[in-house]
Amino acid sequence: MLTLLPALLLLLSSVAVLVLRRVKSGFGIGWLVSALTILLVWGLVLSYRWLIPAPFVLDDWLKLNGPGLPLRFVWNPVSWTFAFAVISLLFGVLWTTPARFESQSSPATWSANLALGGVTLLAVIASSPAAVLIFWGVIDFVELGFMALAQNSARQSGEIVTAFFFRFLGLLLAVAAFAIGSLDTPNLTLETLSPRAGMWLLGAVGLRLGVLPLHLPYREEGTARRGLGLTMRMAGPAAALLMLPYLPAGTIPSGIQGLTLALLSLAALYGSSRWVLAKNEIEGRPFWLIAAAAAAVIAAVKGAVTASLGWSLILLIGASPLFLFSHREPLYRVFLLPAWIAMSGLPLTPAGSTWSFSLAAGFEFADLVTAVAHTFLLVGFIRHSLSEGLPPVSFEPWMRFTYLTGIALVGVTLWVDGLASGLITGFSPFWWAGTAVAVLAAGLSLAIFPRRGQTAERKEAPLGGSIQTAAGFFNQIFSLSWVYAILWGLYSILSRIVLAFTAVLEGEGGVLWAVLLLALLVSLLSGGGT
Amino acid sequence: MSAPLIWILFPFLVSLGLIFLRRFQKLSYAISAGLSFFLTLAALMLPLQTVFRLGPLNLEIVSSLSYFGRQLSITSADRLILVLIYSSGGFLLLGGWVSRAPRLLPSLGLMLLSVLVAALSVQPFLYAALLVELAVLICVPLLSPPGEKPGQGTLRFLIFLTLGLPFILFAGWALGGTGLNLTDTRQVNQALFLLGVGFLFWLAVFPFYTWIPMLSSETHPYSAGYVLNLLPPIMLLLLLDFLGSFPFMRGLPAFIAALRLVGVLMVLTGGIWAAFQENLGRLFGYAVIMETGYLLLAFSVPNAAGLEAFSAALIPRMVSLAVFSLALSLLRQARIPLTLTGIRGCLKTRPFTSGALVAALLSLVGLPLFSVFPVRINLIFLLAGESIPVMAASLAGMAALLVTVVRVLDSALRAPQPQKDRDEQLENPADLDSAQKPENWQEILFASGGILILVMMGLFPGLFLGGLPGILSAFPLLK
Repeated sequence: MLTLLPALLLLLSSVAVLVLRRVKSGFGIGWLVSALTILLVWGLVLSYRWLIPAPFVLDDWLKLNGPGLPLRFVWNPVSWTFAFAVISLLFGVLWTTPARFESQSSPATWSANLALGGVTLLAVIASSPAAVLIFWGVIDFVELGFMALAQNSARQSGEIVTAFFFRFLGLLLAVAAFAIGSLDTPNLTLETLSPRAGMWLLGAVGLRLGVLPLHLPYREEGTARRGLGLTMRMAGPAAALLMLPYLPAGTIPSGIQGLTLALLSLAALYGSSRWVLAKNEIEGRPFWLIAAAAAAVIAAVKGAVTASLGWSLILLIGASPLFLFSHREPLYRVFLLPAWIAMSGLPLTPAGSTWSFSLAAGFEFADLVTAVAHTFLLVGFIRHSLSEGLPPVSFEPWMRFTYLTGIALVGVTLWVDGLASGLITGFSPFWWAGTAVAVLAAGLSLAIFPRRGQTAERKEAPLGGSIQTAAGFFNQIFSLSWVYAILWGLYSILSRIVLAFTAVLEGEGGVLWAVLLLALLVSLLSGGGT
Repeated sequence: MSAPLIWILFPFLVSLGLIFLRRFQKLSYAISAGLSFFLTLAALMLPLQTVFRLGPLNLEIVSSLSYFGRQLSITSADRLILVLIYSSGGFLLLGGWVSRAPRLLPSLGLMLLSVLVAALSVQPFLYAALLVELAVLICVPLLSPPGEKPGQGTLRFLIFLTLGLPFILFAGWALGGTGLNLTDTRQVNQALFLLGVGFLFWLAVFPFYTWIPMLSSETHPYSAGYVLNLLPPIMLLLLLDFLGSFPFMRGLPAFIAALRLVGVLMVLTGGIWAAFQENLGRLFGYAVIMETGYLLLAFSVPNAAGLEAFSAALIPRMVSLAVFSLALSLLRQARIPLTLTGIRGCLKTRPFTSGALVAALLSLVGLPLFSVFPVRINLIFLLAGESIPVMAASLAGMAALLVTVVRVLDSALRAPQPQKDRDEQLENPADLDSAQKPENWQEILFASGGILILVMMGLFPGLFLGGLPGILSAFPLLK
């Protein structure tokens, strides 16, 4: 039961916050319960790095003879790394909540955060096919529900259902992957995936992350942006990225590896360039996810499992302090530094080690593209962190404390997670790769971003204008509206064929047509009369 | 006292009486649903072929009842089948009350249950064909209430299911001619061919399923749901019953191949056709076709696990289709056109009903969290062991249905239609009031209850489905 305890605590406290809201009109008690629960669960999860609980297995979930579909939850180094990232993120979200008391925060959103956190935790410790699929589904439905409640335009509704479609298409692909895997390994778990299953699972992860093929789940952020919005945005990727470290070597056949890497590189480049050019970090968040996810999948395709873990952590918590950074003062920006340095690629940083592990698996052209994407991600981070935010004028001392603690903790998590998961190992022969990215990103940032008093002139600069023009062109291509238009055209053609066929079968001569089809079927089955 | 008297004749007679009570809808539904639940409990609790005390009386319920040299036989092994039929019937009848189904549903619905039980328990098997025909005839006034002109779908339903009758009778005659001498392969093959064609009609298998979407789009959704929910599984149980007498057939490669081909065709064509539907009634029909396809695919797995997958899939299928038809009925009751355009904005205006509609569809796709998922994933794993292309086709069917779900969801999520456009779609100006009324407590109760059951079954399948393979004890020779 210890295995599920952190998740259960989160789910219970989620209910408790709602109950407290009903019985007490006080605003603070509900937040206090949330904040203390997450503190407790954070400590509990941290302790699981050393005190690993026994796996929780529900063998007779389905109670049918056959393939056996147990529900299995496991704390191992991989699941712990993801769980710690998720919990730290939730910690940051809930502890920075007081800053948003006046706008988007309410007991209902804290409760939703806790519930979603609990479900995400279960998703990342799930280790059997049935458990993985169920919690992928739960996360999707929760997100769908929230998005449906928050949506306020026809375009948003279209985006919601498109994202939902691709997510579930990925889920169906994962079902296929697990079914094929069960042929190679009876009593399949994530730890015993075969390469044959791995290939399909990688496709499923790619679809769910929006990188393979490239598609943008949400181009518009809803009303829930910083708190619950962040938890929601990270829950799905966390559950999907968890698969990457489990993929066995030789997952992608060498024949299609080049094409896969090319498509992923395109996604990484597009995502990172849109991130750096986005209006603010919240508008850029979908592109951050695309770029970092593409980098993680590139590493997995290359067979650099640890590097994919590193990119997964960067995706989940690298920019999260920035996503929570709603109220700004110059001095507050210091609290973003640990995250930026962790992602910089300098030696002895999580990102630096990620590069080392990636290049140790061999150099591909995709690595060069990833380096460019990484640079853009870092430049974008600096750009968005330097922009104006809300003034913390109404902050009380305790609010300032919780707000900055939340941001700092998320920033430090990448370091803690990197050290505990063995990602940060020390100097490697490839230290120069990450360092080059860091130097390039720092140089570009210094060159491009205006210092005080230069804002107006910089905006007019010809370089900025051409970047915007180029971005507009690529945005047209990569918005993928043309792909959707082609798909819609195909759908319309197919629709006409199907409807014509239906009209024949359901018309006056339908019975005769049915008999004719039966005769064809019988002759097919009897081998054409032989 | 005999078991057929309790589970066949008694409900049949009560249903006849209910015809006279049809003006008192609440009472009719209370009696028919109550009796169905009572018979479910009786099937679970009453001992058969054993003397037991009931107060001062010593009673024994004998298992068979003879008439004109034929037998209706219900043994202890058939208990779970009785539970399945009467419990599903009870819940469906209960839902009929809130869905304002045609007045004859309580009486004819109960009658249909008793006749279907009779078809499953009659010996020799051949006479089941006549009872099935009786069931089909009972369905006609249910689908096309007296005074209304029957639609094309209803007529085709009657034609196709009646066409099955002579094939089954001829098959019985041919098998009788073999004297069960299975070495006479020519005659056995002839008999099997006839039987196969008979079941093609009965099961509404590709290409004889065109009546299903026609029927479901032109009749009251709940009546169509009631008939389409009950008939295909019972027909499949009849097939099991028949195969129980000729168990060697399940091992025939041609039989397995035929089942797979037909199953795949139903799943694929049902899914693809569903993806292009505008009419939600037709969509329901295609969902029924797909579900029958999945049952056939489960049946085609030639081992005990396949049979278990088949039996376990019955309840989730029924619940999902029941919630689907209930949601459609409630929308229709609110005078909302059952089209994708008609349900625009419904998640805002009628959240519980449209939530139930979406949940039922998600369940039928086989997505996690809903009732069909555990049995569907089990089936996919089993099919992977048999044939990867068949597994891929099953998943493709699910993906095609997912397209439909996305379209329904998109429509339901959008802003409601402008009032002017909506008014123009209504046939009767008086309907405007119904369309604007919010959901009442009964609708909310039934819709949210349906969603809850779907989710509970999806999360705790062992609790709900664990006992279902017990149905197979009625067919001991099948493996």
